[in-house]
Amino acid sequence: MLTIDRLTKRRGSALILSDVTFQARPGRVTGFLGPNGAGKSSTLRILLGLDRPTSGTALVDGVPFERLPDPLRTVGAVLDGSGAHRARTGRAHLSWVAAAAGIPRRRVDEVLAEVDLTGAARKRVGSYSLGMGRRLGLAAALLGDPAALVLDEPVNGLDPEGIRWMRRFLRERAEAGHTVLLSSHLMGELAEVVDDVVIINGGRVVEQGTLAEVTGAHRTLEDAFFALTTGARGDAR
Amino acid sequence: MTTVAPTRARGSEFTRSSRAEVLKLLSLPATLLTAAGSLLVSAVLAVAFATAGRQGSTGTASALDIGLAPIGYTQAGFIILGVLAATSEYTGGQVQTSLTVVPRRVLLHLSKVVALVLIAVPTALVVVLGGLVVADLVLGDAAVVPPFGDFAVGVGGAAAYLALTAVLSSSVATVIRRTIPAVAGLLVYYFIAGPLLRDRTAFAAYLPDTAGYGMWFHSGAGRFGSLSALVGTGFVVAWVVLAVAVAAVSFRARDA
Repeated sequence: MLTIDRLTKRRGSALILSDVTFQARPGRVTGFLGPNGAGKSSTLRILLGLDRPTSGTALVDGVPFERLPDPLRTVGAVLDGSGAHRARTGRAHLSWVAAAAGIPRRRVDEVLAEVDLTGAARKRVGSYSLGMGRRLGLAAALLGDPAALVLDEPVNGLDPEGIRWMRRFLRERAEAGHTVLLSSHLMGELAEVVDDVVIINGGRVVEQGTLAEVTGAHRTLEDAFFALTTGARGDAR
Repeated sequence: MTTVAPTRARGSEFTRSSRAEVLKLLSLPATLLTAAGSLLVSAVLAVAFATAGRQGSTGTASALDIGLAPIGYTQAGFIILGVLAATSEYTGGQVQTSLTVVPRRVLLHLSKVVALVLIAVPTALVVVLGGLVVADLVLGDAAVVPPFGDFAVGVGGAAAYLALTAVLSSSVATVIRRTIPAVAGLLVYYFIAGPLLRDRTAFAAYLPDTAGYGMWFHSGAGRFGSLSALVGTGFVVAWVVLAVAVAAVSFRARDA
């Protein structure tokens, strides 16, 4: 269970997040949707202990990320890019991540196969396509076979086949009882995958609920999204 | 969420993290290039200084003094090594990966220092010994061979100075986070500001470059400042400890 509670973040005089509250539950895919700059990445970075909130908390199973006893086996995270230095090979990147987490080396080959990068494992990350870099990031996140996945814009840079693969993969993770939290600004790509939806705009959560609840009277999730993020907001909750 | 693995001992977490940091440094081509470049520059300069020594223009034919003389220049390689060790985290968003595996930032920072020392010390020994061997070969019969005690102190002091300079540089780069400004700033300090201050002010004797001279410049204590080799070493170590602490506080407090 991922619990975001009254998160506020200021950077200088700019208010990045204001009172953001929601949960991502086991066995469900939670879509964290909003336009670019809405505060999606900032929220996920605070959840992962990368950025500090001005106030509020973000907890993983009731514990702040930096106090997790075994973070890589608890939460797998993919933020923007590959998360790897471009001069290193994909295999060398996964090897140090595995070493840091005390995960056996054979897992490196397993996750490389899982994301279909076995053939490119000995190539430098700098030579990877955008989609390959994303898959390398996912491979690192899967090393510890974590109970929760946190993915920032997971379908960005993927080709249509990659997007299909990602959708199926995320559904399978959730159906196996894992928690999946993903952010996106692409509504159409995600409507088929998500169980729960949280919509953020201008640093505030403007709507949340099950897919059916948020779509409501609108024809599609996309229609609901635009109605919520372009019109008047604030009374939506 | 299903199960959470039992808590591990902090000690083993630190060992794992340090081992991962060593793997990181060794799998970065720039680390090996910098080390090889330092060795090459040290050897070339040792040839130049030893040739001058044979012709009597350095006033000494001591294989130790001449073999250690390139350290003043090869320290640039260790400055770059230290900076790259720190700033490579900020290429490709790698620091995000590092912190999601090892979120305890002070532990991560200290394991980086350990890894850098483990890489920098053997590299420094090879670079220092390389310069000495080349100088001895070029000097040939003209070489004045020092007593073993002087040799051991000279080699150990020089290697320690280079490794400490790498750690100091990585601490500065941890705060600056960008490669070019960090390298430029450190090179300006070590090669321009430091030498200028050394000749003009008394407090310069306590700064990390001049205090460090006593560690490797065999007959340097009399020439630069008033510090003995031992006191100079103490000041360099104190600067390094301070820099590591400041970098750790900065790394812990800031958004990654």
